[in-house]
Amino acid sequence: MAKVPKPNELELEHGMPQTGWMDTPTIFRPGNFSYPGKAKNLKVVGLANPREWSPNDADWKLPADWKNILLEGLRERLDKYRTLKVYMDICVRCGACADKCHFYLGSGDPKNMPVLRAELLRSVYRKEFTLAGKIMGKMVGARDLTEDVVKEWFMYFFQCTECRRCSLFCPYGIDTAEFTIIGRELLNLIGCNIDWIAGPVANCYQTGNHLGIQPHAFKDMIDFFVDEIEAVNGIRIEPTFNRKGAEVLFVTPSGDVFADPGTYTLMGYLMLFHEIGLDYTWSTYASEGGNFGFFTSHEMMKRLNSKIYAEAKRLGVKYIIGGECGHMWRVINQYMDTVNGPADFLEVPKSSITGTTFHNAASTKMIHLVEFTADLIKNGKLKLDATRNDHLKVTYHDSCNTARGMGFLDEPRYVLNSVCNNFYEMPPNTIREQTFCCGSGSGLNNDEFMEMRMRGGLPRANAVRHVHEKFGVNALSCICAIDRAALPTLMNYWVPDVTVYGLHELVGNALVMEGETERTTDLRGEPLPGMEDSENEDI
Amino acid sequence: MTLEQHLSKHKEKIVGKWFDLLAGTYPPETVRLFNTQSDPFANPVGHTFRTAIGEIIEEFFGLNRPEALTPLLDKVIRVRAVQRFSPSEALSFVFGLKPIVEEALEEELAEGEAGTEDLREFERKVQGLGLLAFDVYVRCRENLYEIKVEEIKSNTRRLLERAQLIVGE
Repeated sequence: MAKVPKPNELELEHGMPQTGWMDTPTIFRPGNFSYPGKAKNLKVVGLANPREWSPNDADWKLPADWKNILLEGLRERLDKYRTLKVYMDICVRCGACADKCHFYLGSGDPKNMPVLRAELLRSVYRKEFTLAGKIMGKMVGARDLTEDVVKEWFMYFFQCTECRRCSLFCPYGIDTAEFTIIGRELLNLIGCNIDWIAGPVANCYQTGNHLGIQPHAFKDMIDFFVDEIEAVNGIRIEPTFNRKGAEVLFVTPSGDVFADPGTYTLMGYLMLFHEIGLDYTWSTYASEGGNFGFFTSHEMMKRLNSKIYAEAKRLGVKYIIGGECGHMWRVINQYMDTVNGPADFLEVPKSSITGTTFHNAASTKMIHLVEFTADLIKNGKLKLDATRNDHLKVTYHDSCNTARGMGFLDEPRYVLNSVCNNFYEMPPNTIREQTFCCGSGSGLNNDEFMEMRMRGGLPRANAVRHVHEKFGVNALSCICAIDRAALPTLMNYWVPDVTVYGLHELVGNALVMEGETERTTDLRGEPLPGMEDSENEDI
Repeated sequence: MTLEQHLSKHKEKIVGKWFDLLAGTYPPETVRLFNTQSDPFANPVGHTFRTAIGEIIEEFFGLNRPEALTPLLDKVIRVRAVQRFSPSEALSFVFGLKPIVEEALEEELAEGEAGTEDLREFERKVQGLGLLAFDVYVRCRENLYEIKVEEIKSNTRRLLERAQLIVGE
């Protein structure tokens, strides 16, 4: 007869395992990992080992010589990237970064501490590339590269958004995001990647944007917004596409074209350019500012980025303006000139409206729209009615890549303060350089990863909730397309009364255009303050 | 003296122990962070838990109104509903209140100032709190599924809208 357990034996133990990190197994559960890259998407761009597999499977169908591929890949990158080599050796494990990661703060999982995330790779480096590690093994934090280690890498390198908040606190200046970048690059060598990245990469390579929208549909969507703007203020805008000889090429993330609320931000772009009479063109070829190649490998980033300069050259423009995006700007600011430059066929960006030369972009020849707009406002070139945003109490989320990566801290605030009257900052240790990530960057904004995204976005949402409760903030503004896609969901879970806006949507609301009819609604068709009783039959 | 009066004498101790029990479901490194970092933005989970546990006890030992307890429980459970816990693990802390209170009242029970009937009545209340927590947990998970759907819809809404316009033409 089976032994019947006594009541006290039925008690559940809900504590954490008290094992060391090397001995704590990686467990894949729905919600904590992203679906793997589909074979068809990998084949499009020639990525390694295309196959059908799942992280839940015991057998990941790795290539026969996977271990050798990874170690050779690591060796090659240690030689190529001096930073990686230095970062491998200089960390003293002081722990300054440990509690700075949004994923760690939200999950409580120590392997989300940046120091430990780096240690996942560093432990293998020690074992294979250092004498001490070879001889003393675990005593000096070294371990063998096994399939379990690969699984752990996959779990945790795709639980990091490369936001670089941790690097801000490192006394040695170690950029932990580089471990993630290299970790993902290595995993790609053996075909371990996620489809939310591989799919957009394949689409971008084939048709020019993440969703794989073809040129006619791209143009069609923008024409749709032209109609919507006309319904709001009676102004008919006539954007041009692939027009040779334009002064400026404008490139923005395709999320602005297809996904709400980025679409309203795009309406703001159209209105602004029309009002100042900018000689610019859209491209249906370089129809994506985002670059998920950056989340795959340096090589893939270069391939996908190259179309921007190629199109600028083909169209014969003078310089390039980019829309509101985050990681797009990290690629442009930090890598584009090196990997695809020099863009000697372009001119140093000079605003034909204000005469300002953007010497900061002397080399890349590409500027961010927020600096362009700030310059227009500074020079009094825009007529703005900030009261049109009086129904909003606005706070600003510094997108990681534009704030920490580029130093756009004051330009967006300057624009915000010009287009709305109620602006409230979140607490100092959650904004500007110390901004908390949305929790969905670097290709992780997929729906199967929702639980992790809510954990990762918790510190950001916590700060938004604070200003919501203290000042009645009801609008969260940002200058990043992934933010615009991810933050509404984050707010929906944590602070449901807050709506997300792109900065140029607020500009579009406030912009007084020459010849406009009486404005009664904002770009979403919501009544403007004082116009609640007006009927607008066009909306 | 009623049981509530006895309990309010030990409130601070009970809050502390209940928080420790809740924090103890996280790894030691994280418990350290919960306990040492006082900035609410540098320690959002620890701070939320500490504040909410105090508020829950205050209401639970006082008026014990479900409508007041629900948003307070939500503060803790909304976090745990998206962490690595199974449903039972996420909510186990609620039932952990029983032994904590029993231990806190050890002296009163021994001296007969509080009886086992009082304790049984209190345990029944904890069961009620557990059921309320269950409602909150399910609501949070439902919310998670809803936002998934919402996100997918808003990602494609424009395309569908446009497609329907084309079909209609």
